[in-house]
Amino acid sequence: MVVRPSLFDIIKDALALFGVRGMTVEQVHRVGDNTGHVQIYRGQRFTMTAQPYVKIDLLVPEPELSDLTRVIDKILSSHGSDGAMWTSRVDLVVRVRTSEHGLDAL
Amino acid sequence: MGGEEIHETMIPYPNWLNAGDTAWQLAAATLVGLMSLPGIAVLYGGIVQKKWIVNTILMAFTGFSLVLLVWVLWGFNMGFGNPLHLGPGILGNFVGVPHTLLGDGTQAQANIPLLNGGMPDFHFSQSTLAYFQFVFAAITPLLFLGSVIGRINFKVWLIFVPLWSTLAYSVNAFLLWGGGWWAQAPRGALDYSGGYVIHLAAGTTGFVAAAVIGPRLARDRARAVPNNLPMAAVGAGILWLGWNGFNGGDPYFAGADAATAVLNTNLATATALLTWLLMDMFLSPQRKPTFLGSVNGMISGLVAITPAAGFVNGLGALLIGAIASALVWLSWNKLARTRLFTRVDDTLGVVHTHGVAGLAGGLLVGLFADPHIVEYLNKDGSTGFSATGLLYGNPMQLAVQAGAALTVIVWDALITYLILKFLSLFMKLRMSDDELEIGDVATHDEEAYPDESLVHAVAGAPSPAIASTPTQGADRVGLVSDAEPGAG
Repeated sequence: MVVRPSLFDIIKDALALFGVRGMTVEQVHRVGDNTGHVQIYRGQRFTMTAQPYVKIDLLVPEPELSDLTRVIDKILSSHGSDGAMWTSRVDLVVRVRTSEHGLDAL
Repeated sequence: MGGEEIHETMIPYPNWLNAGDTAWQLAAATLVGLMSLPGIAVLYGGIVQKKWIVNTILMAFTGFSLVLLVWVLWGFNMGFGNPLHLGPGILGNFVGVPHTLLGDGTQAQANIPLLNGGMPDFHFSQSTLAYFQFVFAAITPLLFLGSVIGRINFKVWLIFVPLWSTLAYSVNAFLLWGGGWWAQAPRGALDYSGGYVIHLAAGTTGFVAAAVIGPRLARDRARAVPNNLPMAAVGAGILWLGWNGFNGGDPYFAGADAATAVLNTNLATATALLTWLLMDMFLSPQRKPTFLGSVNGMISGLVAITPAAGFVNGLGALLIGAIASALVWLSWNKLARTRLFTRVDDTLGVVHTHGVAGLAGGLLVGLFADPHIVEYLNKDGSTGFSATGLLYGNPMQLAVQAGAALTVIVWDALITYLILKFLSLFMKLRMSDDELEIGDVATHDEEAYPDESLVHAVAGAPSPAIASTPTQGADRVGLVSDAEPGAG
């Protein structure tokens, strides 16, 4: 999912209640359909065409998927956020340290 | 000690030397030097695009170095030495005879030949005067550097600065400070610390140079956001407090007028900063207070009080700060939108913050100079030298101020144009477009914030850290070959 940076902690804490602990986060920029924010340096106006967002990758077992997406969607909509969320199927997960595969690796 | 009488056989300095005046002059000079390095270097380094930080800072450091050599080898005496007789009238009092400062005369009492009798005798040595005046000569090219950032060929900078310092700065200094034509009676043009000699000169030169060299890349102009506002804050703060030496040093004596100049400088500056801030908050399209706007206001105040610092009273200083800041704000936000100013790409707007502000201050001292603010006393304590502006009954002063301004504008514009046109005969004034696209890395093989995770030292490079790598490798190879027979 891609969400505003301010929502990261809220999502992380909410997912922790459902037992989700590990996730991968990266700082990204999102070019949205809304016009960019204006910054002014020395009287010159600059429009910022891309906004800072965070992208969160989450690996979850399929049975929990609908519950978790519902939770995340609730958080995003209750904060009026314009973030986005999507799911995709993962063929293979390996936990390198323990060589565990599949669901055991999550 | 024990009450024993001490018979001194040596003395530290001759009796014309005063330790207090000497100490203040050297301290003031150092403060002014700090305004260049690191002041201007980090202020400009912080407000240029990230890709030009190294280029900007290196131009500042090289400009400072170049001017010192020029100054010691011939420049100082062109600004403050004996007049070179080029012809009648202004031509006979236009510039000094070039002469080095390398001899033993630098420990003698300081002396500006044309000012003898017109001011108290100096209480410090010639090298004190020369170094103090050097830091002013040095900061001037660093100021107009702001106009040409982002395209000037670095080699052109290295040649332009010494030529300009020789042909333009020394003339400005001689005309107004070295006892030259504009300083002489009956004119008596006022420039306390360089509103004209330095700031109007820098604004004019920067603007003309920007026009001759041509604009930055259109892509750069569209995305020229500053890279580091805290670094700009460091530079701006050093400028403000450094200005205590800039204006406080110019009476040449650690006396009451030095203190007047320091207090006036700070008063005008604070007023100007707040004036710009309020105009941003209530008159700008965005109605927001901005930090870099307030820095522009601060600089406008510092520059405008410079020609007036020890000639006006506190109310005069306050008014100069407010008026100059408002004028420069209008120049920055309105005049800059006119055809002439949009055609010339003055990168950091030096023509406004130094040119317009210096001109405003130079004219305003013609209004506000208060005859009761005394620079030098007579021996009986009466007023020896003070200045009188229009508001105190001397309308001529304003006309003289305008004439001196015109001379500086015309001469510096002409010299700048001629030097650059001359250099363009055998070198390119601009970097190539390819170089401009890349910036610092293309020009200097350096960048301001290299990312260590993406680099690796090239083997064989002459660096101790790198040289150790092959040695360690050789040791390990040696160990393996020793071990093999034993294992077999």
